[in-house]
Amino acid sequence: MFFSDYWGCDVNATTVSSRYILLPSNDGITELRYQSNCKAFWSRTTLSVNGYYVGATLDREKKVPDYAMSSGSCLSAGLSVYTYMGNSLYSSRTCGTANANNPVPAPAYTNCGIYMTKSN
Amino acid sequence: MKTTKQRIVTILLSAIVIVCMAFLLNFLMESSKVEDHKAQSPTTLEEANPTISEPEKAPQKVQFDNKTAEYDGLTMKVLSITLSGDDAVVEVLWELKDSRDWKINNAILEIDSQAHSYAGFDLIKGLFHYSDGTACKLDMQNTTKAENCSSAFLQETPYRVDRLIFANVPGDFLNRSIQLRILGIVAFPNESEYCKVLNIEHIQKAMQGEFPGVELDCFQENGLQGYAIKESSRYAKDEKALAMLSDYAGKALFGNMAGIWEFDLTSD
Repeated sequence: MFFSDYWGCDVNATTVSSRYILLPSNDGITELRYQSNCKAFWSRTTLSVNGYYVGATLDREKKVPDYAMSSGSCLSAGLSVYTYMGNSLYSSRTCGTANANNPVPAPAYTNCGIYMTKSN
Repeated sequence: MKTTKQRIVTILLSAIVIVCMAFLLNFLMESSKVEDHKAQSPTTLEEANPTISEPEKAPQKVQFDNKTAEYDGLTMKVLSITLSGDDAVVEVLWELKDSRDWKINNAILEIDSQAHSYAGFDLIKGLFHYSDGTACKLDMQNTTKAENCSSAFLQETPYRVDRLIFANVPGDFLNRSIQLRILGIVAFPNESEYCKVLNIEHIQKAMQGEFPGVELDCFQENGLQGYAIKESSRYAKDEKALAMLSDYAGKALFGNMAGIWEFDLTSD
């Protein structure tokens, strides 16, 4: 399992799905990222305000396990948590959540986008 | 005489039998009609009786071919609006400014003047120019066709087609007044470019006036990207310094473009 920047897979990456984390207003966003050359999906959750723990999950429709990461400390605006890459052969979606008081357990199946597939 | 009486009795009996048979036949025919009626499907019954049929359902998708708006040289076009469960889904084709990963980050859908918040988007397809001079077309709906990359695409304007999601709209919203306002787009750096874009040394210099000697750190490791005031710095727990750092970081990381692309999507 590798992070997206390991093989330079984050270069030329595209955000293909996103959902705001409602806390209650849009204080963070969870995104599904895709890269053509690496045929890979991964998930990234970014805060736009200070003071939350964040969790990001790459949820696979027909493949387990999913890949999840959680911040161990309270984050500031602009800090991101992202998951390992998953092969795009399997449909994937991004989920993410945040909590002001406690670390977020991972995986966190909230604020999920739709499943996206790129099987080639 | 006796023969005549017998004939009369026979005729009367025959008449009685014929009347009984006719009555029985009529009874059987009426019963058959009732059985036929019971055997009819509910649909047939509804068709036969228009007063109990359901009213016509409202259209679930409205397509447009003339909803275009331009702001600061960037064009957006609304292709359709759909009811999907409790969500309104607005399909928007829009041009990309450059090779960065631009996204619509701020939009409002007003239904009868009531604002519904923007929940996110799903990419349908797009043409992307990349920073290394390549260009590719992506189609997230077509899973059998490879991404199409060609230098010839560099001659075309890059674009995306996204489905914008607005949550918890009324079920009959397509028959109401609908206004869409797209208020901004943003480009957040790719994972490995985080610290380069943040340029923490520049922020550290900018903060020196108010917080002399402050030392900042940027990190990209183990699935976490971020910045902090170094633990060794005396401002490590200073809330005012942290707020200023967060403000500078936000401005550096989120390549914002504020605008207003406004559309009246009310059905004619």
